[in-house]
Amino acid sequence: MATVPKSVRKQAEVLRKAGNAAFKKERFGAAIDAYTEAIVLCPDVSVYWTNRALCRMKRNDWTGVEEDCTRALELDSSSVKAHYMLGRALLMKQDTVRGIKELEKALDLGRGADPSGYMIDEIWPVLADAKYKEWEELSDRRAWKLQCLKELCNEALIEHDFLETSRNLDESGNAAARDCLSEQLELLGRVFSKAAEADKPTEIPDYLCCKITLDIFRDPVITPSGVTYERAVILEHLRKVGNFDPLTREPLERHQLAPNLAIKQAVQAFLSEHGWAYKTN
Amino acid sequence: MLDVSRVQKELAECNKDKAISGVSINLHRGDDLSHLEGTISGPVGTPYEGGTFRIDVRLPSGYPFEPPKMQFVTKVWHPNISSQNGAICLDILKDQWSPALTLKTALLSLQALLSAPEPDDPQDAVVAQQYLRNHPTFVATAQYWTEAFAKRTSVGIEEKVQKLVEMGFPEALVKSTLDSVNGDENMALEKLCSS
Repeated sequence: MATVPKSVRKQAEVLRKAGNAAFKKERFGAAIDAYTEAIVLCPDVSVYWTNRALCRMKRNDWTGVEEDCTRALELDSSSVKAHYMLGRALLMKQDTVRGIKELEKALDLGRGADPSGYMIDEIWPVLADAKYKEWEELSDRRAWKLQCLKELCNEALIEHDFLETSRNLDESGNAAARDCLSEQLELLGRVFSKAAEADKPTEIPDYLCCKITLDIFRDPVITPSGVTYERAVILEHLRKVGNFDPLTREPLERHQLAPNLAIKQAVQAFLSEHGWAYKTN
Repeated sequence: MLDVSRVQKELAECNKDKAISGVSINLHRGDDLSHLEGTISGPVGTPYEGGTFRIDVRLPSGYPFEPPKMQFVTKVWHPNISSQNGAICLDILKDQWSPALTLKTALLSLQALLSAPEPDDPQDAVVAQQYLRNHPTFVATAQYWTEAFAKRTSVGIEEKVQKLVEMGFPEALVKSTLDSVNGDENMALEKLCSS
């Protein structure tokens, strides 16, 4: 890396700026050319690759996005943008498992980023959509398997009862056996509906939702008053409304916000059990 | 940009327990989420008891970082509500707004305002004067207004609709016209004839 002379690095930076200018004017072809030249000069700068990937994404060149992001991540494995765009490229080619993994990584790395590079609001809808589709498919399969198993168990119980009663000639014993059977069938029904519960969409508990977005937390931060909010919206509140805690009206400055790791984990635990909660409007 | 997802959640949430809370909120018409209509039932033990009050609700694009704009559609006699145009004087709809408040909490605050007028910070000076100097007359007037403007029983409105439809006006038009004049049959007829 030290082999690239300073003057060449400077030249590459000029090209990057030219690329950025072209990108702003939505001249993506020109931007790609500029970034490509920068890459040729300095292939070890991750940002050149992610910038070109972004242009390629705008042009729906998803193979190109995947290539560029893969290179970018080899150079800088903590690039939120690279993980995010790679995730989208993978989802595009139906590689859902890897796509979700990349997006989750982007979300994880992107929490707490400074406002200018804050991407959670972009990452979340894509991830949530993919996770929701994944849940739909898996839960359908789970429901189907449970239903089959339940029917088999029902039949087995009835068959078992039939064998018992046909061996038993005593009528009062048969009545008792019938009571026993209906009790067992009812119990079985309850066990199976209990097993299906986690997949039944209900409501997300209030304590996992922001009081402003009314939606499940993505990047929760806690105020000195002890109230937790979604980072992006509490910052917007401080900027637009005033320096106070929206719920308690206590004075609040942005540097007082701290990530709420416990709630973040509670959200993750809830979502992994209840995939339906990824549903977006 | 209006937070569409939040507004949709608010609508669902508010209407879930409207029978208990006494407030509800719906789209004004069509699917425009920025123009809503709220209703609050008049609090028991006040001159507004038994009335249903309609509130015009407009959401600015900065909602929930800007307060919703609310105004009474139903005429009401109250120191903090204009008897002329329904404008409301309530701090949380102005400088005391916070994004942690919702349409439901705002409507509940209006309901509370009906229970506890603040004549020292009036919107309608005439009403406030009456409230302070001649309280029995204030109560009687407020009751009369509630009776006259806020008690549109559904049976009554159906009869009015039927009557106007029998005169040969299309039903949908009759309904929307009656709605726009607050259920006043004569005004509706006038409007229908002139349109």
